[in-house]
Amino acid sequence: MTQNPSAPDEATAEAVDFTFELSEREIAFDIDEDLYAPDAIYGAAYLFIDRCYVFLARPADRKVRVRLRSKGAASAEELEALAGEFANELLNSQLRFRIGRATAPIREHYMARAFFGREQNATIAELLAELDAEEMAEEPLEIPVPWEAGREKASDG
Amino acid sequence: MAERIEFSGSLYSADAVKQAVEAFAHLGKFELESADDRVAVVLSDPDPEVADVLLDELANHVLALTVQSRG
Repeated sequence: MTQNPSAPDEATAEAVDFTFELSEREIAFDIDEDLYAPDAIYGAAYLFIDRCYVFLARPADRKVRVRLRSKGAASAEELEALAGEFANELLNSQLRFRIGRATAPIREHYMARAFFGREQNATIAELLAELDAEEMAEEPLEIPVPWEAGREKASDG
Repeated sequence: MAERIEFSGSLYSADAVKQAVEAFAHLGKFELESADDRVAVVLSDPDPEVADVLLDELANHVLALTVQSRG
């Protein structure tokens, strides 16, 4: 029995059969690592651990066999639905992986700016200059008291 | 009778297999066999209450540890 989930990559837009083997309480299918990144496969598999028993095997180079075994009794329809959900989650996972990879330089750039950017130093310098500009030297102990500011405002008004 | 499960070294972390076996050690007798690019776990004398799901649960545990170790 086959299903045809959408291809994850325009470059590999040819029809991809999603063929699975069905047996009692379990369903197994192969995933091509040329289409899906290992991290995407692990991401999808991890999400199914609480729902069923997941086992990965390597039937051939660049192929990963996923076996999903139900934790209780399951009909053939339920197992097929489980495999379909896994395929959908695999696409989600692949998309997240690709977006994460594509936006990594942007994240790194903003992190670098946040920690080491010149704007950050300029802001600190400005704050220090602002502190220096305050007329603390007029105070004998250079300790400003909060009521002074309030009094000045009152006299201004 | 002993049961056996083989984890592909290209898919599962060997450390994850060892950690999982340690975590499940109270539920049966586990032996590890490393060969080529595989780590096999041989289970004997399992706790009868969980015997039918023990290797499946172990495999889930190994998978979880492997995924977590990849960050």
